[in-house]
Amino acid sequence: MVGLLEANHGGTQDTYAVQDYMMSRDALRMLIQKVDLRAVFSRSYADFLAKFPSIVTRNDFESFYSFYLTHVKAQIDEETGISHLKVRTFSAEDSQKVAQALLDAGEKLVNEMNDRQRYNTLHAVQSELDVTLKELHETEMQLAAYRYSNETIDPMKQAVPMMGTALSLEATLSMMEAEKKQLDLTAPHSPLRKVYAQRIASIQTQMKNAQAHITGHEMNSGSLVPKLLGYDELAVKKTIIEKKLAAETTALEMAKAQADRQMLYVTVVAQPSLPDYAAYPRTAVFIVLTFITMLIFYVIGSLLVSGAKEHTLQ
Amino acid sequence: MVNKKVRSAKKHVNLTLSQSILTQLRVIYALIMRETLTRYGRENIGFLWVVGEPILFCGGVTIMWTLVRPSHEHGLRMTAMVVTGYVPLVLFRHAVVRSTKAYAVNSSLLYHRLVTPLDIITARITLEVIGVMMAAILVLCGAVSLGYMELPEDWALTLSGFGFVVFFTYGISFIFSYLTERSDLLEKTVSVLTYLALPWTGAFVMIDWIPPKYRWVLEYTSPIANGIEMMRSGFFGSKVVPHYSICFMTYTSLLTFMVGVYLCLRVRPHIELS
Amino acid sequence: MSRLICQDLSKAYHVGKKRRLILDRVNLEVNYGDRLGILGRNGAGKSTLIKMIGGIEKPTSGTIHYGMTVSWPLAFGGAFQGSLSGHDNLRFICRVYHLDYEETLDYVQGFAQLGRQFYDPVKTYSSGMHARLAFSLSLAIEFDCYLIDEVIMVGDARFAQRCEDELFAKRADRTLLIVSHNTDFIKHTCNRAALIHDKKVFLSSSVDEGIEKYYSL
Repeated sequence: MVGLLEANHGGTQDTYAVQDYMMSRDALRMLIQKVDLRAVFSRSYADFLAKFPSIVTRNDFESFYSFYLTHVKAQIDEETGISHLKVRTFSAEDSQKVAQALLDAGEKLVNEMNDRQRYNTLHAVQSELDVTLKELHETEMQLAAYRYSNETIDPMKQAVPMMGTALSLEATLSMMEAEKKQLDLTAPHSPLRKVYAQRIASIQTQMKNAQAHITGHEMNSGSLVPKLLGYDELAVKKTIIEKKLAAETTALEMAKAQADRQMLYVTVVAQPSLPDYAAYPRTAVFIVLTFITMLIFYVIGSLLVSGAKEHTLQ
Repeated sequence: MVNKKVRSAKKHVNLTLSQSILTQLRVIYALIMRETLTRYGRENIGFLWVVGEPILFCGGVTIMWTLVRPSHEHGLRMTAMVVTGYVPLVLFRHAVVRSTKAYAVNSSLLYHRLVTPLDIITARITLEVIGVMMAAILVLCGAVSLGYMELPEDWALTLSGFGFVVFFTYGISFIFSYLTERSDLLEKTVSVLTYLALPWTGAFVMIDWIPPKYRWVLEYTSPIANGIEMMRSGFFGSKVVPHYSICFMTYTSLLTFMVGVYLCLRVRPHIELS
Repeated sequence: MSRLICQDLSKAYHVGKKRRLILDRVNLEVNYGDRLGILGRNGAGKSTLIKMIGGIEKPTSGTIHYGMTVSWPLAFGGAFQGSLSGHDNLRFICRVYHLDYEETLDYVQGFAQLGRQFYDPVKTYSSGMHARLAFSLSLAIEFDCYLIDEVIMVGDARFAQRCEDELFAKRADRTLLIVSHNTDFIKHTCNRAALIHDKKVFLSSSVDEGIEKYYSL
């Protein structure tokens, strides 16, 4: 009975895992439990020398294991990468049953190996990603708290219209000053000069206020610059975390893809077959082989005897 | 009948089988002792040359290869590869060379009717086997104590492999002793043949190293390569993937031995006496 | 009845592609206690016959039935490893034939009397010393039949006398197969004679007749 199976990809080391498992004591224990292997090898119709326990073997697990090794063979054909599983028992059904159980166990083993490997590759990346997400969340919270405490949404954006106001004030101021100079030249005694002077002074005050609002140094002045400092720090941190997150997400995707590619699987090239006549013992081969062997021994023996008999003086 | 004090030749007449076998063993022993004297003489180390010759060969080659070649090849210690390859190779080559014209040069022995050609060749090969084995032990001890190689992982496997090589060597030497007595052409080409057969003995490679397409050449035609493979399997353990078949070695060696003994029992009319 | 019987013994050598027949379906029977002198010209196949009986060379066809234990042929060369000392060769033979080392050493030293040269390589020996070593070593083992190929005549007078004692007096009952060109020696020691000529072996009814035939060739 021959079952063929293939362990695919994942390096040559893994290919031997299934084979080694099938020839292991663990597999034997599994078979004893699942298909009652002891009963299989001690059928009443088995002859007294071939069965287990027989009169020439001890009845312990270790002896049974060496007996098992002579009846089950899992070998890899190195050229094709296909493993061959051979099971010999005293009946065709038993053989098929045992082979099927071994194949199932092999598949289970491979699945376990896959799960383990998948877990190993993905776990590290996933946990890093989790940490980053948490960090991002924390940063967002910090930012919100900052906005709340400083009554500001985005100091930078807020500063833009303020700067605009300051600029228009400056433009108005320079226009006023120009008009006042003109007036000084054309009508030095005009009453309007006083009005201009007052307006210029008020605009200058306004400008000073606006400037203090944007770039002032005192905290209580409501200046935007110190607010900007704290805000920028948080904003940069957030950007960095976001980039990190993007990179880690890609890594996770790749790890997933790789894990999928590294999947081991057992393909049963040919199902365990049910032989329709007993393949063993090979009676004819045994008889011929025994005959030839005996003949060779007989010829060598008689040649040596006749050679020895030559040692006489008559 | 087997009393040493009896000087009558009649004690060598009408022997039982066990007495014949004892006589044969005694004759082979006498031939071995004589061969050590004729080959190495009594001067200087004399008998010790039995070991000296192969040890110079094995040891010399081992030292040279260890120095010249990288220390590992295919993950195996260079020195161990050389020792496991050269010991059987030296045995095989020396035995075959020794078996050529073994009878013509020893024709004086055949004046004694208790000495048969089979005894002569058996004694020669046995002496060669003893020498090579002692040399192997010495080289092994030297290389191990200097740390150039480790002891075999599985002694039984290593020794059985060597045993198969020895067994096959006896058979092939028997055959060669007959053939070279009959054919001058073969006698003159034996040393060339043994040289050409070097790759066939598989002494320098593991069968696993060569492409699968050509493996059969060593695996299914060369009992020596099988034996060496078995030795190395015992030597390196799970570090190598051995390709050998005990069945193949047993049958080829038995058949060779059978043919060899048959030919040696029939070589006598073809021996050119001086 | 323990006898050494050669049946239809043939021996051919291959020289290049040519096949040269040395002996052609030879029949020979040797009884226990026979002293057979083998005569023949150089290259007639005397040594080949002895080597086949000694079991060193296998006959191309035919069988040899051994009813007795046969020594290795005592000849020049052969049997010993030249690079080893006489002593080493002795140890080897002791091991192979399962002999007591001390006892054999005493016997060989007493018989061959090689002295300190016993511990020198055999290749440095003179032919006389070589013969003495070969003789003493083969006599250290009690064979039923000794195969002697020319060696005996080489030793000096004293050694010849010791051989006389050991081989012909003490072991008077043993079988001997002697190859020699020395007809006097054959006449003196042998009770049967055989002539090898033209790939065949001719047994003579008496030693004198055999020698006559040999001279008439």
